[in-house]
Amino acid sequence: MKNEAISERQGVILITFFIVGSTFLIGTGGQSKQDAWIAIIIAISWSAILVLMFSRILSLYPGKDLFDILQIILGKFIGKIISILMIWFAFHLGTLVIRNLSEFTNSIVFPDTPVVVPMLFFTILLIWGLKEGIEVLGRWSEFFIWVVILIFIVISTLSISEMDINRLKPILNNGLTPLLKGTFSSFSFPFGETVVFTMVFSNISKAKNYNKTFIVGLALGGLIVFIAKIRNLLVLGSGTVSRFYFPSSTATSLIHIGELLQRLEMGIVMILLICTFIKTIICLFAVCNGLSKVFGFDDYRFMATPVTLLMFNFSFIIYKSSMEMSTWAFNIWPYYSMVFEVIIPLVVFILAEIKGRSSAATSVNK
Amino acid sequence: MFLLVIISYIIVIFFQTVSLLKEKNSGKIIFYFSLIILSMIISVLLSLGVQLPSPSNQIKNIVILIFGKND
Repeated sequence: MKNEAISERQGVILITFFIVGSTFLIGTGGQSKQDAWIAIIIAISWSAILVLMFSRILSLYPGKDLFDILQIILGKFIGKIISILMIWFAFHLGTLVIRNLSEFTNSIVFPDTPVVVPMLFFTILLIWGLKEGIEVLGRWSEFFIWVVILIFIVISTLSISEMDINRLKPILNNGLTPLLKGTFSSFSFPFGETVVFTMVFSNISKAKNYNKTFIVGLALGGLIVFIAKIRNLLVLGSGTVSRFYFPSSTATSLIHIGELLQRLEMGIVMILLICTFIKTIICLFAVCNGLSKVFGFDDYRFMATPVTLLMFNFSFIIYKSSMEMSTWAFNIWPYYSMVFEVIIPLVVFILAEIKGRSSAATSVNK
Repeated sequence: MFLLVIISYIIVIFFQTVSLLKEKNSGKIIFYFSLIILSMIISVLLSLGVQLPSPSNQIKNIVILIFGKND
């Protein structure tokens, strides 16, 4: 990752794709039922604070990513141990994303094909993308963001005929507790997962700090997630949304305008493939980057194949069934990911600020 | 079936170690081989249908231990 620089705009687009990633598939803030749209807005404002913290950590040590910063602040040994924890988090996240995609492919897209086959092709694409590097990925995503936005706007506009504003009422009927639960869950997935970007961004050219990148990416990604959630709620109603595994696909299948505009789920599948690809490959970048920093290699490209294949294999092990996946994702993931998304970066932030202040003080005294 | 898995792994390893051996960095070679052999073992076990233990159960137990079963 030494000589690869992505532009600010590419960083924004990568963050947008990452947030839209698998959220587009399984939805977020599910516990709030029909108030999920309020939960998403509150979660975006909380995560704006979190994301500013990430950007400050990266700006204090320009040109270095989280693994370098951990080793500078905490010393080599403890820094490497915490780096391994963060690597495991990124690895686990990528595994969940691949598993999500394989569940979707298996149940809706190719029900009769063994799920190994499309996932194997996906894995080959991931390995290829990894070996090309993040610069190529940035340029690719600059083009494909327009495809995604176009399809998304078209599909959302076409489903206006199915919308019914009464499905959003009664607002705040269930009280504040489900709303807070939904906000917490929405905060940790997907907005808090942008911590993975601290492991990937090491130099963005011509930018003094990462604030604009992170905030604009968060806002754009949050906007798309918000519109998708509101559209699902308006079209399906909160009961149906919580009943289906994949609400966006179901909402799109209801579009039925004349003979031509039917069966538009393929648009959703296209958006999904693009966004899931980016999300997985960013997690893989984080893992490979981290492994190369912990073990002292100068390059990460040679380990692209084994790490990707490990993630692919793990995605079959990690859950035994679809139901376990959704239970785990809604109940356990918010608490488990708090440690990696909030606690560890908070500790790093405090230590980095203290170290920055003390070194400034000593240089003034000299 | 699992022969197919092993053969495809060997093909992949063959193509990649050619460039890796030219570099003569033994750390990279050891790392690469340990990871790919681990992956190969897991793939073969999966293709044989063995139920491998999943870490999500352990993580669930740890989370319930710390936070209590309130969901």
